[in-house]
Amino acid sequence: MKISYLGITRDVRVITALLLLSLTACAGVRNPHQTGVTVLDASETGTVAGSGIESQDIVSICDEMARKLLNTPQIMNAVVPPTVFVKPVENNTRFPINSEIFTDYIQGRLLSQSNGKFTFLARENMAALEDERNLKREGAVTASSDPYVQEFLGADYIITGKLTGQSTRTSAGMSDFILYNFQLIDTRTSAIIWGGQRTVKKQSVEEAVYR
Amino acid sequence: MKSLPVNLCLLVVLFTGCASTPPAPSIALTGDPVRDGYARIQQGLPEDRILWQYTTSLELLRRGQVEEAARLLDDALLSQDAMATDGGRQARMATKVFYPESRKIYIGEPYERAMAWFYRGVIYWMQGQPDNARACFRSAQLMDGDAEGDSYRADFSVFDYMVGLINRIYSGDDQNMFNFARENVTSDFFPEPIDNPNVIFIFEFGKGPRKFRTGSYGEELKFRDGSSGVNSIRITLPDGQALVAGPMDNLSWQAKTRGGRLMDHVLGRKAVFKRATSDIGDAAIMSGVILGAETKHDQTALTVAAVGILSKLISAAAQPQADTRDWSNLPQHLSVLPARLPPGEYETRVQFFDQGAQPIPALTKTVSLAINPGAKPLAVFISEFSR
Repeated sequence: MKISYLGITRDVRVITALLLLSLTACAGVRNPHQTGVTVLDASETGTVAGSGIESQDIVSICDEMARKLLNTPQIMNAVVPPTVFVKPVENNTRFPINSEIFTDYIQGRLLSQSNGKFTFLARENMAALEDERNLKREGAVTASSDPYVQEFLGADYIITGKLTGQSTRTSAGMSDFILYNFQLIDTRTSAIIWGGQRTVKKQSVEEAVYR
Repeated sequence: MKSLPVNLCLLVVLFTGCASTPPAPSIALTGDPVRDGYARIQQGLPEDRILWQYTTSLELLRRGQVEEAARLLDDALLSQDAMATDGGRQARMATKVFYPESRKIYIGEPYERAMAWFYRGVIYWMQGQPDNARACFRSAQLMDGDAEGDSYRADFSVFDYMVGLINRIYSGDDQNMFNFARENVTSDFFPEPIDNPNVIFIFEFGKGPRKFRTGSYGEELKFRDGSSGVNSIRITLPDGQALVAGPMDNLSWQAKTRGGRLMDHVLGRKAVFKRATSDIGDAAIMSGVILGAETKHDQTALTVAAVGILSKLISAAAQPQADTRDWSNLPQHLSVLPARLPPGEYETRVQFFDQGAQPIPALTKTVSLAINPGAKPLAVFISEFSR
């Protein structure tokens, strides 16, 4: 016998409840189809983590440094946007890195958040820029201004970065300490206008079969 | 009671089933180390993949195929790092009595792991990235950092020397690293650091150490010394100026001074289990035979003998043998020589000399240099085995 409540039979209510349960079970599952690939935000520490320099370190450190740089009085109060060159970071750790990630990320954050407070110099493209200028000088391509006038900008400031590491190994595993150090340097006076630091320490225990 | 022997037989089948290991896939080899290496990487056992990546990348580096060597090493080093901290199911299986140590994914003993980092560092420098090269040399030294004896930890001379050289480029000086390198050098040869070198010669020669197993059941991992017919190297410039280098590091020494491994204790326990179950089996079979011959308790005698056979089979299935997979094309010696050479493009003659200071003509090579004034120091890799 079917019992009806508000015109809905018990069978329908049970099926609905089961459906709801299964749907709520899916909520919060990051990879419900078990595809082997999970899309994460770059600032998250995933389940696959190593002891090296990882995306969450790069993102959180560059975000913090960009924020602090923007609040530097010399930048905030500048009447004319200063020209800035971001120098590739020096890697003094035990982990090989692609130093362009730091340069590109910091420059990208500053560009998107600064509302025109900076003018960045594309020094990494200098060779291509010089080639183009030479073509203009030779008359091989058109020029909208006199190509013999020096218009390449010099930098008012340089942003530098250095990653310094100290690693320890014991029979149980390894421990890595990394100091991320960034500076804003006035190219005219060589004065360090601003400095920002972050430290990260990671340790990894080694599998018994490999010890 | 009658069903006991049957049950024992079933147990035997179960145990021997555990002991089975996957057969090695048959791969058609050509005799070309690079082609064979790639075939083994792609078609060989997954647990040997890193081993073949190591050997193939070194062969590629010796042939001057630097980018390909870098790709293989990058993949191998990522896996090496991941496996060292989480070896997964296969690492756990390697500690079980009925699985051999070679079931674990190979990442190499510390001297082999160190060498993988070293070669990647050399390649980074050849690619014009000395800071990443320095990172690799540091990681290489760290791989050797857990030797049992204090004096054998992180004692590769060349690694410290290379870090010292790169520190000089970036920060002016780092005498400490050169001092560490000098303390650990294994021969009379130690190149004094020079100001503003523009070429760094990196040498390898001789045949490196090989692994073998010993002990009653092959549970002890040992290393056989490598050998080298070469004792020194001379580089002659077009103007007649000559540079001479000798060995600084000895890989056989590095392999042998690591000391005991945690895995040695695991293998030792497996060997004890194998011996005990074998002895129990012998005793039970003998007791069953005596019981059957001297009494009328046939059923009991049969059961005791069956227990003995079971114990013998369990013993046979136990696998305490040490893993002897090794990086077989490693050299015996490493060395380095910084130099300040005149700018320009020219060819140099590289000669290898034996223990009696006689040249070995078959090994003489020509190395082309292109030195740009003001450029970062150029890394030049010279191997006895270069083609």
